[in-house]
Amino acid sequence: MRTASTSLATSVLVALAALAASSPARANEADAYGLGSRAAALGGAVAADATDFSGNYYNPAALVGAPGVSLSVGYIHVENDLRINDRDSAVAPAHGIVGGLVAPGKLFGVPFAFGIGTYLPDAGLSRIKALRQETPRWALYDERASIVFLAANLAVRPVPWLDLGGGVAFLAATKGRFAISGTADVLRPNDSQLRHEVDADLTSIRYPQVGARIKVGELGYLGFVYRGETKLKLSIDANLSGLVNFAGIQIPLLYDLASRTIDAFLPQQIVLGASFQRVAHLRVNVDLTFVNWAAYESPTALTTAHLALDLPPGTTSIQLPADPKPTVVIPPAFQNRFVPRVGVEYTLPAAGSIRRVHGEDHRLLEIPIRAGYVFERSPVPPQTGVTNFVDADRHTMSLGAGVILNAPFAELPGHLQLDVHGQLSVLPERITHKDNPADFVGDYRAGGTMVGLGTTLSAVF
Amino acid sequence: MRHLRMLAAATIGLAACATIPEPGGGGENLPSAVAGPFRALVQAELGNLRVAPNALDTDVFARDPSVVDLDGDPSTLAVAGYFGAAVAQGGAKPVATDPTRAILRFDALDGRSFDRAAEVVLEPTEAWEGSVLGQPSALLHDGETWLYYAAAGGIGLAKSSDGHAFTRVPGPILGPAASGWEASGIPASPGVVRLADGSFRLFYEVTIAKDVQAIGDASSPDGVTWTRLGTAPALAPSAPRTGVDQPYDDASVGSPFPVLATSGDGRAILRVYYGARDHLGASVIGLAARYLAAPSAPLQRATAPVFGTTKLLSPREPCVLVYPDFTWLFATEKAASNADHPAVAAAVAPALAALPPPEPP
Repeated sequence: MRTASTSLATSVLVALAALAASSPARANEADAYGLGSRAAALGGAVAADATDFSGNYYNPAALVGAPGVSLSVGYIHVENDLRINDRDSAVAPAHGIVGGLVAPGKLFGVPFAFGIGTYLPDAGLSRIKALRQETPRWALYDERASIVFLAANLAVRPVPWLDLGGGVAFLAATKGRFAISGTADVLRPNDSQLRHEVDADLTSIRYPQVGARIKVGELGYLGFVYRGETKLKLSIDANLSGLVNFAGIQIPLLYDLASRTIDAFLPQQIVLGASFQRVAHLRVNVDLTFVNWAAYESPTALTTAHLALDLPPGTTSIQLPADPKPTVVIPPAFQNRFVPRVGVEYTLPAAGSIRRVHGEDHRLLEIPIRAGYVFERSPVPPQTGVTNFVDADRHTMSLGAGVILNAPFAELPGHLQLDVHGQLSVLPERITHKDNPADFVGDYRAGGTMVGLGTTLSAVF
Repeated sequence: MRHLRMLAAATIGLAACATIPEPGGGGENLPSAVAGPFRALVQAELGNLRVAPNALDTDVFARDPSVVDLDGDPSTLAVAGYFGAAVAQGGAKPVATDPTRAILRFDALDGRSFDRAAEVVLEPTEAWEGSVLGQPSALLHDGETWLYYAAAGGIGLAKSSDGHAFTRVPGPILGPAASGWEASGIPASPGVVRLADGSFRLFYEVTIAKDVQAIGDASSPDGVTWTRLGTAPALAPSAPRTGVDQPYDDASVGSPFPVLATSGDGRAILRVYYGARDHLGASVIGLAARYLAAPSAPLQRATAPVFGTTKLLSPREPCVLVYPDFTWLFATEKAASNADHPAVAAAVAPALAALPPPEPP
């Protein structure tokens, strides 16, 4: 087993390195829609019960509870029907591949596990928008899931009743420079000679996540998780310098633009979870998450621009625009929130002969049935002023089921598991009344629904 | 383990294919009060051989627009525009600095590309009007067109059943105040709106110091007999501020244009567009408003001007026409950067509004 785990871990590390080099990750899809069908069906209430690859997000410590090496791959698709004033805001759907693995083993006699989990949006690895603070946007759902989540964790079980784990998730900070220089001929554009340079740098940013899981006798487990805060810094500098040839008159021109913004903010979170497993085949999970949204930083782009044109003497008909006024960023003043999650799973021993799997007796066919509920109070304060971070409370109900084939063939001594889930989020309409009747956006009503479907296939050896 | 590695490789391969982002969402059907900012019309949006953004640019320097929807039906764009103009005096061609001495009517089938031919609908005939007449404010009421206008002695009113032939209401309906903050100042540049309760509200401009104007308001049950409101201007120049957030109207506010609107949640709003000038001499069009549920509340300014910041053409005398999906703005400003004579520019909000084709093209 140790040899197999080591070999597999080597392969995984190679793959991890390849992914990290090409597409540094950000953790958001798991936060908004769940990671893996089982966890999503349980409303994400798995901080004390995530022994599959989803532990890479929900609780790294739980990975050490994995019964064997497992590999999971799946897909999730979430349609957003978010509306403002009864009109669809066309918030992009979230869809992508989820997956990961858990490789447990023993090191110097101590149980340990290595895991990675990922969500790879199949519509592109990363997308960022920098908007004015007055521009309405669905602050928590627009763009959040169009980015990569990738986390790698280690877990150990120093004593039989305690699991400890931790790891890192990855983000990328973007720094870029865009420069154009040369001569532009206004009357004969094809004669223009321009050079451009693009210099973009994706700098890896990591943030920590740690967890613990305590076995409480035969009752089940308690889980504790801390996820660090993270954010993406987007920095773009553009420079245009050269000569504008206007009917033989050469006019030197210089245009500088600098933009700084923060995007994909993920607040630090503390999770307390419990998984009641005293009754055979039944698991009842409850999680409570503290989310530090008060630390949210405005994603407003800070932009400075300057145009300098060295006009020939006597030119009076050309008036250069004034430099744009510096943006005065208004603190978003988001509020911390507690998020309760509840999940119930009952595994029906459906059919087939009894066989020994992972040290326990199971029928060939088992069918888990799951349900979950999450309430997320909006952290966004009433948008009565200039800013327009649109949001509403969110109630998420989920259902799921699976098919487990225990030791279906000789090459798979563990089990093969196919899970599916459906998820409905309802955002009751929230009315925003502007204090200033001269506001350019004005009053609005915002609400909507999200519908998600997903499936995950896991092989546990 | 070989199978596991193959599966892992396939997963990584799938991810590697997903590198081209599809267009981002979330930016459609965003809420807008359709109150501004306005963007100037471009050439493709103006017909009738008008040169964008000028919906009207005449040799009599027609300006100070007041535009009304001819049938009140938002599905049709035909409008009538009333403008002050510097008509010829004794055979001499007018010059750009001449004051307006008549009110002309131009129609526009598409709401913005005004006809080439004008019709004179009002010229000074009364003693109190002197030789100056202009700054019209037209109001459709009970099948009639009521035309408020500024003259030498104050604000007058003429009525018409067809919008062409006008009959005056005798005397100025609002002359100089005997006392108060506007004592002896001659009210000018009227803007009139009829409120939901049937009463009328008049906003007007008064010069309160050299090169400094403020906006007053008055109320009327019938549109003819007016009572001044309050003991201070409805809108005065902003107090000066330092720093990056300096006001755009700390030198003067004038040429008010009131219009009713409804917020996205059904709250009634009185908007007042106005000509604003800052202490550096830059002119723009500003906006102030109040909720009608709080009729005694002061007008609150928008955080930024609604028009005139991109080109320094000194806009003033705004007129706004609200449709369900967009709002027109007409304003007097310099015809071009290199021309000093006044013209009437047209603009639209929101900036991404898709306009019907101009008519005639």
